[in-house]
Amino acid sequence: MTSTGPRVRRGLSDRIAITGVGTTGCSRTEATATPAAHALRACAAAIRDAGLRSGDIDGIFGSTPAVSHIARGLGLTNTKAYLNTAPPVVTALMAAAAAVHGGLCDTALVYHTYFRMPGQSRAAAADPFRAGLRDVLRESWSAPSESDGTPESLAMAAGYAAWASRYAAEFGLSREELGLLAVNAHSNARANPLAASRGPITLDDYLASRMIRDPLCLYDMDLPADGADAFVVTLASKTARAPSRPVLIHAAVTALTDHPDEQSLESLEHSAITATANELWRRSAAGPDDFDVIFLYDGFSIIEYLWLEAFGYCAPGGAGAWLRNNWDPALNSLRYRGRVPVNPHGGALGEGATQGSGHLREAVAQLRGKAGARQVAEARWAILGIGGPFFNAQAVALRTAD
Amino acid sequence: MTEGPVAQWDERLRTKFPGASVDHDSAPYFRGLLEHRLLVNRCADCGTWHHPPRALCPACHSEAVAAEPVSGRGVVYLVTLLRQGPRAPGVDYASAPHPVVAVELDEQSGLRVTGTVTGCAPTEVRIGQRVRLSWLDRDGCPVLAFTPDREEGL
Repeated sequence: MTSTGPRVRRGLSDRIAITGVGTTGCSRTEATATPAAHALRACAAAIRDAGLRSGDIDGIFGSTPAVSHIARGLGLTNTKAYLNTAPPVVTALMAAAAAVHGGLCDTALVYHTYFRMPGQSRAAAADPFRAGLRDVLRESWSAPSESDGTPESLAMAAGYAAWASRYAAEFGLSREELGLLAVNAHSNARANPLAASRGPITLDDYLASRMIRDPLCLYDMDLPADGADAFVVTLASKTARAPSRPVLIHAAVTALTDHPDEQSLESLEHSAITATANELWRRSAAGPDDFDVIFLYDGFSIIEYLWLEAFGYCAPGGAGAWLRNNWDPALNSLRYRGRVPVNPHGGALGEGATQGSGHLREAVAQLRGKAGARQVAEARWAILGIGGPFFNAQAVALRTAD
Repeated sequence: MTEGPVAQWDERLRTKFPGASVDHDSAPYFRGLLEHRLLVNRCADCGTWHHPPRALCPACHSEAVAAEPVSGRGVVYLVTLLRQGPRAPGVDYASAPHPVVAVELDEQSGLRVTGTVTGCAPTEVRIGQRVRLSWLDRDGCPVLAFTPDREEGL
């Protein structure tokens, strides 16, 4: 967990700022807007939020739709650098930060769009325009496996359930503990007007919910939603006129192992999540207890266990007890050391399946002091563990400038 | 018996594995399935096995890789029971959960293949359990499956 290797170069640490943020929020009931419409709305909002105009943007980095589509839709006349990146959003954020730091562009737009497949919700299934959609998430994350599309595939959802079983076999897995994550998510989402969640749940609701892929039940899975988040990234030294408090990228990591797929991942102890967390601590001046707000990716609840343990908040196998020990029964929500919330916006389980861009958006809101009823007092540092243990683990430490 | 680097086309690769990513790298694997033989890529230079099949050995970057038969014996490393999933003939998630396992083969630590389980109730499948290769026929299409290896025990 602590530094073991040679000292890392300071690089872009604290030199790149997020100065704009825009979102559509998470829509779960309507299914009438295209991915491009969501992305354009979020991007336009982020540009406005940064106090800029289209002509000020000279770099664009995002997942889907393609950057050329979005650049045209926003009327960007000045693009000098661009990249289509695989989600989660930290890939795009890092590419933008590196491009700005390296002088390839000055002010970059970062975006991620989330969109329900027809099989993921009734509203999406009822939208005839979605019938021919390709699963772009699956395609962008890993090579096809030999059993894709058959009942004998561990790709995507089945893989997380299979590794949850592995966790259970190695350490034990209590449903009463795992369920606290869903309760935390839905409790927190109540204070988030952008959330798709319909309200709080109890642990009994969790325990009674339908098993989908053992040992994970319905409430262990994120809420499919439509929407987009966007961010504006620029040099921290050029933020004097930014309308909002700049948020600095202190450290960002996307590590892989040499077995980056669901079937072949070496072990719980040696995964993309542990590799990413270890590298984050090599690059971060702050340690686990220095953060005022914690974001853990929760496309499936079990992933939060892996991040908690990899970041060193508890020992391997200790996540369930950690949840119990840091539970605030009055709030029906997690408060680490009585103060620090986990996924205060509700995360993917409670806000919606943003693949992590909602976590980043909320982190920026918290560090700006603009998180409304969810605001953590004097939040200065935020840590994010985004993605899963196979092929898309990403960690970020964000901080305020002062 | 191994198959060389240039895969032979077989029309059954299309008809028996609809939707699967059968390409020049994976064709020998799928041709093995047609004969109920589990073939895994192995490097002729350093002996390392790898799966899914790729054109280079990940350990030494040799191109002398070819699909070779494996014993089909190993240990359940991962398991999940699907209560819903892709439609397939003979798979009724409502009547019984469908087990999916990643089996770590005896040939090499970390060498895993994915399949279903026959010969025991889905809820009896345990991580760490020894299994051996069995096969399932799904409307004439071969499906990789494993069954508890009771002779060897745990």
